[in-house]
Amino acid sequence: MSENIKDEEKNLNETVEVDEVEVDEKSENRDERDIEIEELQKKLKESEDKYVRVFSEFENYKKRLEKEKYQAIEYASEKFAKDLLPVLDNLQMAIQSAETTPDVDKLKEGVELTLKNFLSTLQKNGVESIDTEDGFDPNLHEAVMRVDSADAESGEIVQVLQSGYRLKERVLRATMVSVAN
Amino acid sequence: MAVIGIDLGTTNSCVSVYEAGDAKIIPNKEGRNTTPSIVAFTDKGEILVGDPAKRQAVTNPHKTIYSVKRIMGLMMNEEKAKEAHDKVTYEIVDKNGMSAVKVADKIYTPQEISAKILGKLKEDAESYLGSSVTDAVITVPAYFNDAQRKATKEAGTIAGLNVLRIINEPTASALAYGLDKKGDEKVLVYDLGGKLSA
Repeated sequence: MSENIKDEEKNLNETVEVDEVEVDEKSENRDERDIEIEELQKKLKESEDKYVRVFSEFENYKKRLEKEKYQAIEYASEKFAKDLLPVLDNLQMAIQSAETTPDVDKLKEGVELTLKNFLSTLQKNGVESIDTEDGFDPNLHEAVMRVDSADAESGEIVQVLQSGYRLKERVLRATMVSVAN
Repeated sequence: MAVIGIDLGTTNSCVSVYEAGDAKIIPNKEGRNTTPSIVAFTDKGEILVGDPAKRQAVTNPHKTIYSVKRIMGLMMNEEKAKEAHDKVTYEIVDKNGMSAVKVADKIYTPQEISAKILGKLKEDAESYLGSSVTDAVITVPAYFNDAQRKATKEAGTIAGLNVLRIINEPTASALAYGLDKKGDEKVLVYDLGGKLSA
């Protein structure tokens, strides 16, 4: 009898021990998970922080770029405008001198020189006149009317009605021309 | 990869890209925000699109195709097709019952003509973005029927574009305004067309 009791006690103890071991394993598991969760939460927070920082940096960068762009546009003509001032001076002087000495030939000469000066200033700033020597080219010329012509072939330029200009690779204004029927 | 938005207009067309939270209009290689919806076939065998095509229209009225959107996806017997036929300087012909254009004995569908315009817009977008572009959204007038919408999509496909969606022009305006991101409000969208009434 007493042996039986002892056995039972032993059994009970063993069960308890087993239980304890199981509990230990569980708590260990939980610890590991907790650590993992903590780590992930930390990583997520870091990523979120990083995202917020990069995003606000990006927004600021965008704003700054926009501001710089508008400033650049606003003052883009600065150099060009400065280059044009001598032309303005010359024209004012031409009018002044015409008032004192009304010599048309001299005035013409002066205006011609100013024009030359003007054209070279334009050229310096990338503005060039478009020529029509190589025939009608819709990339550069705009046909506004068709006329009968004995000299020009059909579709070719008869007369330049208004000069065209380009700024570097872009057409500022196409040369207005009439073309032969 | 960037998706481009295309306004394929009757008179002018325009391409844009959604960039950094805003829709940005892409300037064409001529430096303009809009490209005339005009395609020309020259005697030299060249195909001109946009401004150059417009500049030579006077010299080449029978082979300069403008306002092709008017006959996009229309049957030849539809009233609108007949109206266009009487008004334009190029030849509108019947191709299996559908409206098409005839240029020097060759017949082109409105889709094929529009594809040339879309192709140029695609190229301009690619040179602006510095990468190849295949995905696009194209807008059509709200009154376009199913056949017209299908034809527009087909034009995109011919131009080598994967047309993700065809959306109504006023809807595109509302989206650009940010209707989907703001709170409840009533917004009125006006569609002021540039189409010539002549």
